[in-house]
Amino acid sequence: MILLVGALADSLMAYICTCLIAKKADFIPMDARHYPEQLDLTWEREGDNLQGALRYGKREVAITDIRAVYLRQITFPNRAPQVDTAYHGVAFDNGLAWSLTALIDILPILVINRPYAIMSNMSKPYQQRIIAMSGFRTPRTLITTQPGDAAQFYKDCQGRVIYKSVSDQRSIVNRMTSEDLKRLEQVRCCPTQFQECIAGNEVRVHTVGKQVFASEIVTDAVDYRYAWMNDTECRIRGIELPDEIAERCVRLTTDLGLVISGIDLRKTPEGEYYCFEVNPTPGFNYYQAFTGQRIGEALVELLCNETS
Amino acid sequence: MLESQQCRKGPFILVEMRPYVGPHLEDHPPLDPNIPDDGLLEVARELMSERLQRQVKALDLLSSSAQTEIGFLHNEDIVWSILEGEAVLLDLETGLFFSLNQVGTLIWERCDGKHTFTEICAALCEAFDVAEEIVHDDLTKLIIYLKQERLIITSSHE
Repeated sequence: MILLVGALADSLMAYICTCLIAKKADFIPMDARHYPEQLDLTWEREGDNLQGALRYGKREVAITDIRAVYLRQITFPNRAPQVDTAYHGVAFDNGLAWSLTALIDILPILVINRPYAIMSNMSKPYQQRIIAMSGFRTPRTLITTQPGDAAQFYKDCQGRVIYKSVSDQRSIVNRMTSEDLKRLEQVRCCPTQFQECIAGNEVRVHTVGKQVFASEIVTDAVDYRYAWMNDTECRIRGIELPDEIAERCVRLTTDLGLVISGIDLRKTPEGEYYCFEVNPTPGFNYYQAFTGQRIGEALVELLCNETS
Repeated sequence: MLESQQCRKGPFILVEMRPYVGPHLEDHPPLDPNIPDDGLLEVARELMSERLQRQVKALDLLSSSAQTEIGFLHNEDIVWSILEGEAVLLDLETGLFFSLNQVGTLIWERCDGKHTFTEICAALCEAFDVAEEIVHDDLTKLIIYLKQERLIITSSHE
């Protein structure tokens, strides 16, 4: 049995469910919002031995019958009516997530991806350190709450600077302008990440096990994900990476403890590859819809191979 | 004092630059855990983009056992011609141009309703002296792409 963790409201979950049904695979698409009425989890560990059961609706499966897990998102449960204090609310909201992530972290089966490995994306500077060790170039970076330091960094980089969040909190990447210098005092409110601007084309790489799917994004937008906001054209097409770069992407994914990843690269006009980030829960359906790459199919194959 | 006044303006990364990412769960209550596969499939299809649905449909067709029987036809909104051995396509509905390389052109010319997937595959193997496995994969990719862009339609089973 394959356990999918996430909400079907997510189009990527919807896509994977569709593929698994087509393959007649045995799976449970588990939405944690059903806890506690329709979802129970109990397990015990003794040495390497794990025992327990998962109840989801009318179905109950032994932990040992779970052959593979795809973790997309742990949704927070619907709050029970009797839970009305803030303290108990937090315990209730997080309780299942703690138990579930702890179990998924140690299950001796294929897990895409383990929670501890996903955590590397919570801190971009930490991830950048691991990226740099893999051989990719990384941009010069400043994280600061000091307006003066941010101004100096802007000057040092000849005004070619972008800024974005430090954590996994999504922020639209922006190019810093002279107008922004006037409001630099605001960095005191929240540490902000500044990076030197790297010229070149965006390359998004998805790795699934040892398979590599690369797309080139051609756009004038600073953040191609939001090119539509400025009516800027954005074209995505599948490309082949040099073997060395493709192998490095697979190795980096493995080094981060991941099975699949979405890696943001930029290829400079000189042919160098910079790496900005590794996404441990990539929304690959956006890219495969444009390129026709069979990323989801590769993922589903990986999950199904564990049950055959 | 100055710092607290500045902080009233909020972080340097403005709120409109910090969009919510992920599904709007409040609009989608969790599905009944006991929902049968056909019900799940129906909901799943509604949630996928039209583009992705077309891809799934193409994948379904191409991975089916009836693959050898499938042929393809040019969409009637497409006008095309061959320039220096390469096909140039214009979608009259969207106004978009497409160009195909030599291999793509050979495939395009055989999307005439007379050739099946397997026959196109064999023609490519012969023309370019490449292993069938590689050709099969590349042909599948291009067919999915052409179907996604609505440049071709399936001439059987659809």
